[in-house]
Amino acid sequence: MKGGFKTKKRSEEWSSISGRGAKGTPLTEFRLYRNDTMWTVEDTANRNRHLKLWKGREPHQQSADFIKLAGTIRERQRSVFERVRGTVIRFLLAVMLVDLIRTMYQNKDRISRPPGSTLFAIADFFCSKKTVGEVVTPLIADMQFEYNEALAGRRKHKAKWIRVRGCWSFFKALGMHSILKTFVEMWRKISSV
Amino acid sequence: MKPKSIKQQEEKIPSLSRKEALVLDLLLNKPSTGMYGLELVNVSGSRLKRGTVYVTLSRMEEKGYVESWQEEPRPDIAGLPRRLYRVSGYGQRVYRLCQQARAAWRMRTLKVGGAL
Repeated sequence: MKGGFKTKKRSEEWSSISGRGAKGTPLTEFRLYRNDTMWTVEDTANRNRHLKLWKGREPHQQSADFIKLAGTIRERQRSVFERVRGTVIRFLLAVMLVDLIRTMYQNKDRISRPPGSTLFAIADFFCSKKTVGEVVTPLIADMQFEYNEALAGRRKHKAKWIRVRGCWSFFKALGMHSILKTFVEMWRKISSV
Repeated sequence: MKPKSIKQQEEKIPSLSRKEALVLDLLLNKPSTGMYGLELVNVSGSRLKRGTVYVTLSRMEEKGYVESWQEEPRPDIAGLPRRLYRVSGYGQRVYRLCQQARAAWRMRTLKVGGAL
């Protein structure tokens, strides 16, 4: 309420705040709202007299009759337009916040090595050139191709899964290759004797 | 890798495992363009595994059944260039012989089974 004033019964709205005069109990105080500020006086019997007196007085004298309660400024009811505007602003702020968070995560893109480069380095260190050339290189090349294809299709989870699967097939292939080689070597030695 | 010479190949009786036969069968469907390892796995319908296909291909290349070459690197595709495989002439002959041998074996088995 701007400029005007309005009286309210305490038991209707304010009983839960003041803690006194719950519903059904006799009213002991009279409250008046002006410029969104609550004023109160402990004399309900003479409320009209007080109001009349209060109306007639100068604004700076009004607080003499009524006690201004600190911290009880009542927010006036907003119009439909204001409520809609508030909702729209809140919605836009939420969208901006979500977008900001998304951008923060998206901006984590950094220059990184292609998938399989570590595996390649491991294989290069431990395996022979022949094994690297015939088994490791085509395996990693295919994995990288598949990974890039998934990324190009904006399938991040698929790309991650390809990485995991490629890693597993790498170890499987190398393990099998080594075992196979061992058996072949053994067979050659046995047959040559 | 350098395949064995024809003389060396002819000295030995060619052997072809089921997986190798399957690889040759798949590769013969695309004789000109060739196929890469993962393509073979996808086409085979889980009969070939990712972990074993490269070992099989490497062994087959060593035997001289398949030829491989690296595809030309393209600017629009990142990563290592893929390795493509195709059946060699020797591989085709071995595959045909193997098929004939298998068919003959099947016929013989049927005949023996019928006689019994």
